[in-house]
Amino acid sequence: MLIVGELINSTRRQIQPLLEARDGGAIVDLARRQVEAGAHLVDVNCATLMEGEVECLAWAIQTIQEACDARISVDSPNPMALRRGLEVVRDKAMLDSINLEHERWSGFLPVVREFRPEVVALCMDDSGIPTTAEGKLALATTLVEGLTGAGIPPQDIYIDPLIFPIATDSGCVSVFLEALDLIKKRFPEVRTICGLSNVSFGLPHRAQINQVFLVLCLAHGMDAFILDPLDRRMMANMATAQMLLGQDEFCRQYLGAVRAGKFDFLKARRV
Amino acid sequence: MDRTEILDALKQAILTYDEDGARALVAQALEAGIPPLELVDGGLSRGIKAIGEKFQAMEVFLPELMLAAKVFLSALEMIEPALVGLGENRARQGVAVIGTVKGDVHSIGKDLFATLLKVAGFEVHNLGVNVHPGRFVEKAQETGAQIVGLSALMTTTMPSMREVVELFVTQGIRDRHAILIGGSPVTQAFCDKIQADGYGETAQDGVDLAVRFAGQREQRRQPC
Repeated sequence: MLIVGELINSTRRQIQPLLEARDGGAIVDLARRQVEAGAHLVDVNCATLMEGEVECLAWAIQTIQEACDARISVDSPNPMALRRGLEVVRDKAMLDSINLEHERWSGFLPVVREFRPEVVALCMDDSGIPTTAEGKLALATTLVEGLTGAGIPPQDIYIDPLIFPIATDSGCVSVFLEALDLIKKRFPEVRTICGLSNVSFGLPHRAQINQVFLVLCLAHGMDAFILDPLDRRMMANMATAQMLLGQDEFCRQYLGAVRAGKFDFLKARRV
Repeated sequence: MDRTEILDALKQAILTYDEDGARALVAQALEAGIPPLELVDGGLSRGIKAIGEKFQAMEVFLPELMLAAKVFLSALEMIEPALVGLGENRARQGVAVIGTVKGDVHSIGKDLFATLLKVAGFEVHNLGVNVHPGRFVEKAQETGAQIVGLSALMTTTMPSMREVVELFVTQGIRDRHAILIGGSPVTQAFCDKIQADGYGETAQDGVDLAVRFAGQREQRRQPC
């Protein structure tokens, strides 16, 4: 299981000012807390800084790397920012994200070839996001063929089938899970990844929906998530589901998490 | 049931998302000779207005709003032939051309806006996603739309909105169409900067703006 911490993202209202002010202390603190909570990678996105993005992204990555050991997911729609970000990443980087839209694909592929990062690849092209499992598989196939052709080994490719809000399409989670099954069967070595929050758009108690969606994804073999690792219930659910799915021999991870206090938040509710 | 009871029941059918009930009531009302326009204004529209208020108050949620719109449009579909037969026309709010701008394939918010515009009485031409600026101009001229609605969900595609506004300017038709913009990264400040006419934070805000702007502009079809 691979967890990418999503919190350092300039589209979040409280983050953009920290990035603009180059508040290294606050950014490092947020990176550290995500790693302590279980994130393997810290995603860094400065896209809303527009013309300031390239410089800020490089600064944020270097600042985080100086202070903690986390690997970095370089998150940008801009090939120039991506290149600059990948240049300063110390360990193996993740690139978030490529897709089959003509401009995105042709702009990013040279960067992918040059830096050979792990790549998050979205099932989306110029006509949009497919709404059927077969449609998602077809785009996943094109993505895998294109990326392996560019020298990325299958185990470094993370396919995101892309989830829609359940509020607008009651069948979309079933389709998503079916696509996940198809992709994993067709490409056993390729990994899969997804974000969680889109599924709950337009509904009350979004965290609850995201948490249950995570468990469903786990049951269908999802390899990685981009999420908020500071959500304690989410992380507790993940440890529990992995144990129940037979991915935790002798329940070692689960019990370790309990002893490390990761389930302490449940105690407060007993009284 | 008398006229008032039927109209109240229609409103109630929207509020309870009862499509079969709404259609049965419409059939009964048309049979009884109740003017079709009254079924819309006195019944269905009152229901949808009430749902809209509950949605704003977060008492009902997005899927329920969409379901209510579906019931509304299904009942309306039965009423429309009767309106046409009588030579009446539902008080059209206006014509709107909407789409997600070039480079952007997000559709959900834009489609919700389209549905709510239809419910509000607009003739809607939904151009889909990844729409080239020229398509907005063409369709707006062809239909004489008072409203042109642009959606963008990415900071990278917001500049396409500016392109569309500029194209309407260079075509010399900027004053004929109100250009409304929306989408999660879009702000009022951006709207002011690119000199669009209005920014709606939610789909309902967009509809309110559309109603206001359409009232100020008459429909002008380009001579073919």
